[in-house]
Amino acid sequence: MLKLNCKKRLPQDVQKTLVALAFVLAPPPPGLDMSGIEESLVANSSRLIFEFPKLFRWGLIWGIRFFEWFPVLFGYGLLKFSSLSLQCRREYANQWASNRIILLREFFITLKAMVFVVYFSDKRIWNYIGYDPEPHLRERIQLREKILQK
Amino acid sequence: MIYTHQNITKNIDESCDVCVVGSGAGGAVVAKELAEAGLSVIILEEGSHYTTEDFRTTDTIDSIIKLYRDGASTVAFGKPNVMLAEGRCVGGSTTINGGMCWRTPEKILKRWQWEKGLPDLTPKKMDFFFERVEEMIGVSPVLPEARNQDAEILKRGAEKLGYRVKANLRASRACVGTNQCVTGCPTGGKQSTLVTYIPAFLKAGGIIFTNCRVKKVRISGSRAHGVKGIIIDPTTKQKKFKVKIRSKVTVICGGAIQTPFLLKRSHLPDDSKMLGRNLMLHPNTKVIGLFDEPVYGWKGVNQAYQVTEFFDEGIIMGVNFLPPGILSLAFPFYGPGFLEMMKEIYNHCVAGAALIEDTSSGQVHCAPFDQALATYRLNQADFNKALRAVALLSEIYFAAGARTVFLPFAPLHQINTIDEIRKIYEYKLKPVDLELMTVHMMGTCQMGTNPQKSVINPYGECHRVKGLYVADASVFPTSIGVNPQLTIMALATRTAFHIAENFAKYTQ
Ligand SMILES: Cc1cc2nc3c(=O)[nH]c(=O)nc-3n(C[C@H](O)[C@H](O)[C@H](O)COP(=O)(O)OP(=O)(O)OC[C@H]3O[C@@H](n4cnc5c(N)ncnc54)[C@H](O)[C@@H]3O)c2cc1C
Ligand code: SF4
Repeated sequence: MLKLNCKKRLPQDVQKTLVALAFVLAPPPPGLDMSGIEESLVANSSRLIFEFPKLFRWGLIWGIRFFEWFPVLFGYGLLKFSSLSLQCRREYANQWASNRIILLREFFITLKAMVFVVYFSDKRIWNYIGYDPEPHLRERIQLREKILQK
Repeated sequence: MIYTHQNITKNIDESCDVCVVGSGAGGAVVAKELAEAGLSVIILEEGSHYTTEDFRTTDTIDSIIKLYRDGASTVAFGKPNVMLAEGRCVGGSTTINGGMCWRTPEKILKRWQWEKGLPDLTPKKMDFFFERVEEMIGVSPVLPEARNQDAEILKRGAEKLGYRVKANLRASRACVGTNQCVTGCPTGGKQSTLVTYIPAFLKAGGIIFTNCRVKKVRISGSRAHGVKGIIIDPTTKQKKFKVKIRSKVTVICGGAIQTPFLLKRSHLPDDSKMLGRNLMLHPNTKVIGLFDEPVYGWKGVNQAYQVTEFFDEGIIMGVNFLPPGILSLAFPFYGPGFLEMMKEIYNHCVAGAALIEDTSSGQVHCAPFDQALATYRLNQADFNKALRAVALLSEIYFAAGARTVFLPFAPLHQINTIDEIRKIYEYKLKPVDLELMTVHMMGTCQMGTNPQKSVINPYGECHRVKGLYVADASVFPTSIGVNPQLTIMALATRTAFHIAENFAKYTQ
């Protein structure tokens, strides 16, 4: 089995931002229990980010900090992103997503992509949306054995 | 014999006839052919070695980390940026590719003969090399058991419109459609170099050092003498040992991004100034169709069919299932209701893509921290082609009964009827509005007869450095407009035969 332990973890403040952003991007609907997702989000984002090239990784981490620290620039007072109310977080994220400054917009797209890739690898979400590749995999491995026997 | 960072205990200093850098479509082929010709061959591969059993997982993130370079975060910068993916493991990108196989189209070979001065690359003369590769990697049609509904929908829509559809040929032996090709085939059905050329290479006495990043080609005067590199622990990224290989012939097969990067860092003399230039990408646009009928795109093989009606215009289209994390990126929106929407569409959507034969080009630069950096400038002609491809794919979906089509443009991401296709042209879209990705990088060490215009000669040897060859996607003089692995492998076979026939000249 491909298994990998990640000993490196993202700094605490960055972890907080990513978790808060995940719930802005794809809030779980009522009835979908996502308790504990924070831990796997942090672990998987850390694994992924530590694979990125050094310059890109630093840029991403400092970009996330900028995103976290500066809602003030967009008129949200002195609170950090992860301390804003859910509604304000949404509005703040929208401002990045549609910003006239292409760098901010592109950064937000990158961040969103990373959070989505990690968030959507959670099996509870797979279950919720109806993606269940494991039985399919087992069944097809058996099918191949049968074909080869013939 | 395969050496890994775990069983290497000291610095390596070895001699051999041929040193091959990279074990993908180009490297594995050259190495196997030369080892079977009786030469002592060493492959140096930066990635790790995994087996079919290792791929029996559905942990996509783990697979991305282990099999893709830089966690698949690579981008060619430009307007728009183009996301690109390179394999980094034994088997290179063939371990993670879709297995589609096309011989080089005749129109392309003609361009190479007439415009680039490569008269030997005729279909007739290439036939032997194609056949040899096809036999080895089992190029064959998709089994009926492996086909899936999304490909049938594409075919249905295209045929309704009278568009030509081609049943794909793939590198496969009893592929059963688990649809995990891009994270390593868990059945052994896909005939990547990992399960074909590499075992044959090892059987012929070849040696592979994995987890070895080659940092420099040893060039003195007009001769190459091997390479220098380091063994890296893939988990901690720590440098463990130094590697020095002395070889009579050196073949670089790191792919169209890494090969020019390595050669630039090695200060390869290049009169043409084309090293690293001429980067072509086959830009790829994703279009998603939503259907009332169940699709279950993940239950069957990728791209059982391709729409080839617009091949002469430089457009081919197919469908690819996307795992949830990747599909979610196709939508420019997010927020409350996003998960509910994913639930509604996931098993009812067809994710198609159009491949563009590009005339745009880019460049590979050397960035700090041992990093290659790619840039790419999409020209107006290719942008127009991309718009047309999106419009055609949308038309096919609607003809097949789509309820909605999601487009790869931030300002216009959804249309609901065939009549709305014209909005693609009315919206005054700009290249930056387009989302592009690629898995076909080519052309950065182009071959040719004229040293003032090309980096390597028609057999892959560098014009100015003897004993130094290139055999990977970077040798293409132009974009080829079809999936490239078979062309890379056939050209690599030809290069290997040339080296074997002329080897005596390198021993003096
Ligand atoms: C997801 C995906 C799907 C694809 N689908 C298809 C398809 O269906 N059909 C098709 O024809 N093509 C497909 N392709 C493209 C095809 O696989 C590639 O074009 C082809 O494999 C490129 O061959 P190559 O030899 O140039 O490089 P690669 O196959 O990428 O091999 C390069 C190898 O060199 C190693 N390397 C690089 N630099 C160094 C260094 N400095 N030191 C040591 N090792 C190094 C890398 O780790 C890698 O293993 C796909 C590619 C991807 C990524
Ligand atoms: S569809 Fe499945 S069995 Fe077929 S090649 Fe891809 S991963 Fe292997």
